[in-house]
Amino acid sequence: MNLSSLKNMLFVKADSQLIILMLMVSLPHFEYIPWWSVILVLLLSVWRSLIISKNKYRPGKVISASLTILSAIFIYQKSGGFSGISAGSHLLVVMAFFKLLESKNSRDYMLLVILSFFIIATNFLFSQSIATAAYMFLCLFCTLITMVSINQNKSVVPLREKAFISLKLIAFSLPIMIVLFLFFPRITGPLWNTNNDQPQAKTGLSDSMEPGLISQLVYSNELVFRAKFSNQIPPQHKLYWRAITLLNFNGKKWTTTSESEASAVLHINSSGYEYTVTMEASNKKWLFLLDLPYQISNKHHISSDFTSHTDKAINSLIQYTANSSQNYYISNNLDPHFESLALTTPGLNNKSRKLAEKWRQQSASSEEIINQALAFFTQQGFSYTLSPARLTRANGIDQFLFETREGFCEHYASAFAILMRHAGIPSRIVLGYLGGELNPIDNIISVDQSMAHSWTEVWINGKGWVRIDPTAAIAPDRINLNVSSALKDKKNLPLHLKINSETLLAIKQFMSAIDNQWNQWVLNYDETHQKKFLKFLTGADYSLKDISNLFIQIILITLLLTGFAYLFNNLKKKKDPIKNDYQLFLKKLTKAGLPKKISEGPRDYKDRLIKHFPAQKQEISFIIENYINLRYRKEIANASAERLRKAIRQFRVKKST
Amino acid sequence: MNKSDQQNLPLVPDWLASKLDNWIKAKDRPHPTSYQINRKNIYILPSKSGWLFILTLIAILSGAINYNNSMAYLLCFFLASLGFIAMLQTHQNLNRLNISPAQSHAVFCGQDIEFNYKISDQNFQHHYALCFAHNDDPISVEKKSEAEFSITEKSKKRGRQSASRFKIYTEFPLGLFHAWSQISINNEIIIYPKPVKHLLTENNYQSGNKQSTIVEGDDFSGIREFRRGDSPKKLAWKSIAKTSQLYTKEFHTEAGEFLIFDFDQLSHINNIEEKLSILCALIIQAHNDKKDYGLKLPDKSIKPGHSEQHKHHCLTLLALYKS
Repeated sequence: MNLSSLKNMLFVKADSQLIILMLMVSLPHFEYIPWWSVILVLLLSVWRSLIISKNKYRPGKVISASLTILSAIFIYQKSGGFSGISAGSHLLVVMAFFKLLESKNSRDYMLLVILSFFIIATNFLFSQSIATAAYMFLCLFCTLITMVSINQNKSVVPLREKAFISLKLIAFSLPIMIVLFLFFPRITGPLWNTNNDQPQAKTGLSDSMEPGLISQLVYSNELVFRAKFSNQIPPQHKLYWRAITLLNFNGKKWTTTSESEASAVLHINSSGYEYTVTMEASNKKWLFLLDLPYQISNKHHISSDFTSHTDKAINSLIQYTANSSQNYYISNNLDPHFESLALTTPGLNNKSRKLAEKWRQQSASSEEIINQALAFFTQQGFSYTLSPARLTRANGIDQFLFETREGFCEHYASAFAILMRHAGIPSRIVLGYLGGELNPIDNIISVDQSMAHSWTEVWINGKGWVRIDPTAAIAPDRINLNVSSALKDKKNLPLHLKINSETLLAIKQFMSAIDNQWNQWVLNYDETHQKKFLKFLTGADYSLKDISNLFIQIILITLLLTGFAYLFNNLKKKKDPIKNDYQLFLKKLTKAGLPKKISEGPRDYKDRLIKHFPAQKQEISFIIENYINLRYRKEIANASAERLRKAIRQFRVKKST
Repeated sequence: MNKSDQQNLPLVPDWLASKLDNWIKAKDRPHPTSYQINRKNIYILPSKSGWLFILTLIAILSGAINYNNSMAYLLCFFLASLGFIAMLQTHQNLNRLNISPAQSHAVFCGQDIEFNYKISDQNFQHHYALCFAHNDDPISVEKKSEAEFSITEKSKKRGRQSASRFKIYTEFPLGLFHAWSQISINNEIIIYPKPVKHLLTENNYQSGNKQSTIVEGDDFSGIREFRRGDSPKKLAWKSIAKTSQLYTKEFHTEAGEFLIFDFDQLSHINNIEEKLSILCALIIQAHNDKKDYGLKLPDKSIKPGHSEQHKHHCLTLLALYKS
C-alpha cells in the first residue's frame, strides 16, 4: 500500500477511520480488561482492516454470530456475570469490535459511533483526571470527524473542512454545555444498587498490616488526597494523617477489631488546624484525618478510635472539612476489656518479653519505658530500608529485634507495639500517611501513596492515647523530610522518588495546581456546590426542588413563547387575506377622495368609479370582479387571489384630467 | 440506504408520514420559476441514529446520576449541546438554497425523463451531501455558486409532462437529524410518441419508392404513368386531358430526393397513436439517414429540411398532436 492510498483511507473513508476511533476510545480500557481480550480486540481490528483494504475475508453471518456469542459466554465465565462496571464495560468493548467487524453500511457506522460515545462514558467510571478528560476530548473530536465522513455520503469533503466543521460544532456546543453543567438540577444518586460495581482494586492502604505491605506502596506516586489548611500549615513532622487503627496481632499480621472502646472524654487545650480534604476515589471506606481530629463536617462522624469512615466505599471524589489538634488529653480511663485487648500478645517472642519486662522493672513510669525502647532502636544498629531481610520464623518480632535488625516503618511500629504490650502498656498500630508535599502555587498539601506510614499509639493514664513513632528514632529524615532522604540505599528507589530536578518539580507543582482546580470546579460540582453557586449568583437559598422547578420553568417558558410566536404569526396570516387586500384597495380610493358609501355594493361602486376614472376602467373592473368572484363564488382557484393581491398592490389612482 | 428508506421519514409511521406530507402539500403551492428553500418549508426530525443518540444520552445521564460522576455529566451535556447544534447545522445545510429548472431534453414515450435543475447557494456557505429521494447521487453546492442535478421520472404519455414534487433532504454533518423540503416547480418537458417501425412503411422507405403512400418528394420533376395508390391530388390533369391516360406528377428536390411523411396517407391504420408512432420512427430514420424530410399532419405541416432543430420541431408536432 502506498502512502497516498493510505492517506486517502484515513482522511476520506469512514470505515478505516472507525477502526482507529474504536481503538482510541477503548485504549484506556486495555488497562483493565484481561490480556486475552486485548489480543482479541486487536485481532478483530486487523481482520477489519484486511476486509477494508482487500475487500475479502468478510465473515459470514453464521461465523460472526457464533464468534460473538462464544466470546460473550467466555467473558461471562471468566468475569462471573455481566453486572458491575468492569465486567459490563469489558463486554461492551469486545462486542463493539465484533460489530465493527461485520459493519457494512452507514447505519452500522452510526451505531458504532454511538457505541463509542458510550465507551467514552464508561472510561470516566475508571478515571476522571484532566489527562483522561483531555484524551476523551480528542476522541470526541475524532468521533465528530468520523461522523462527518460517514455523512458526506459519496461527496468527498476534504479533511481540513471536516476538522473545521467539527471544531465549529464543538465551539458552539461548549457554552451550552457549561450552562447545562451549572444549572441542570443535580440529583444525588444512586438510582439503582451499585454494590456489585466494585471497580478495579486500587493501590493503597488495606485494613491489615504485615511486613512488606507498606514498603510496596512507596513504589506508587498515585495521589491519595489533597488538603487545604484554612489558616497555618503544620510543619512536616506533624502531618500524621490517620486512617485506621489495628489492635489484633497474630504474630505476623495486624488486623482491626470489631469491638469499639467507650468514647473518650477529649480535652483540647488550644485550637488546632482547620483543613479541607479532597479525597480521590479509594474504593475503601475510611477518611484521612490529621492527628488528632476532634471535629468533622456533617454527614461524617469521628469514631472512638479517632478515625472516620463512610457507609459505602468511596468511588468518586469526596470532600470534607475537619479540625485537629495535637494539644489534647483524654481524662477517662481505658475500659478494662479494651485494655486487655490492647495488651494481648501472641506470646511467642520470649526474648522480647524478657527485655520489656526488664525495662519495666528498671523504670518508674511509662514514659521511661518508652524512652528505653526508643533508645534500644537508636543504639543497637537498626537500619531503615525498603528491602529488609525476610522474617521467616513464627517469633518474627524476636527475629527482627535480635537478628535481622533492618526494616521499614511497619517492622518498627509492630515491634514497638509488642514491646510496649510486654511492658504492660496498652498499645495499637495506626495506619495512614505521613507528610505531604506543599505546592507553593496554591499552598495545597498533596499526599501520595509513597507517603504511606504506620506508627504506634500507647495509652498513658491521664494523657490518653499518645502517638509514638519509632521510625522517627531510627530515621529522623523520614519524619522531617521524606522517604527518599531517609533511605540509605537509594539504588532501589522508584524513579519518581529519585528525580531531583528543579524544573521537573516546578512542572509537577504546576500540573498539580491545575489538577486541584479541576477537582474543585469540575469533579466536585454536585448538589451542594450547585446550591452554593446559585446562592453566590442570586443570594438566595435554593433546594433541589427549586432548582428543578427553575430549570423546567425556563424550558416551558421558552417553549410557550415559541408556540405563541408561531400561533400569533399564523393568526395574523389567517385573517382573511382577500378582505385585507380589498380594504387596501378601498383605502387607496378613499385617499383619492372617492370613498365607498356604506349602502353601496361592490358593483355599484365599480360603476361609480369607472365614471370617475374612465382611463382605469380595466384595472378597476378586474379588481372588483375578481373580488366578487373570490368572495362569493367558492370554486374559484387560489391563484387568482394572488393576482388580485398583485393588482391591488400595483393600483394607483391616476388623476383624470 | 435503499430507496424506500429514503422516501420514508425516519421512525415515523406511514399514516403519520402521509398526513404530514399532505399538510406540507397544502402549505406549499407550486412555484412558477424557482423555489427558495427557507425556514418556512424546511422540515426536520431526528434520524434513526438520532433517536438512538437521544436514548444513549438518557443512559449516560442516568449513569452519571447513579455514580455521581461529574465527567459523565459533562459528557452528557456536551453531547446534548452537540445534538442541538447539529440540528441547527443540518437545517442550515438546506437553508437558503435556490432551485430553478434548467434545460431538460425531450424524450420518447417509455423512456425515463431527466428533469434538470440548477441549485444555487444564497447563504454564502457550503452545502454538503444534499440528497434526493429519486436520485442516488448526492450533490454539494459550493459557497455562492451553482450546481446541477436531475430528477428521473417515468414518462407517462406523449405530450407535455410536468415535473412532480420531489424531496430534497440532508443529514449532514452528523447524521443525527433528517432535514427535508418538498420541491414543486413548474418544469415541463415534451414527450415524443414512442417510435414504432411498421413493416409496410419500412418496405416503402427502403425501396425508395417515392410514389408510395407516405413517402413523397415535393419539387415537380416530371410525370409518369398512374399507378394504383397514387394520390389523386398529384394527378397531372393537363396530361390526362391531352392523352386521356392517367399520369402522376413526380416530385424531387434539387439535391436529390426528399421525403414527406403524411399522416393522412396512413389510412390503413386506425389508431391515431399508432400512426404518430410510425411517423416518429420514420422521422428518426430519415434523420439518421441524413435525408431531407417534411411532415404533414391534418392540421399542420412542416416543410422539408434536415437539422436537429428540424427533427425536434417535427417530433414536437407529433407529440402535441390533438393532446
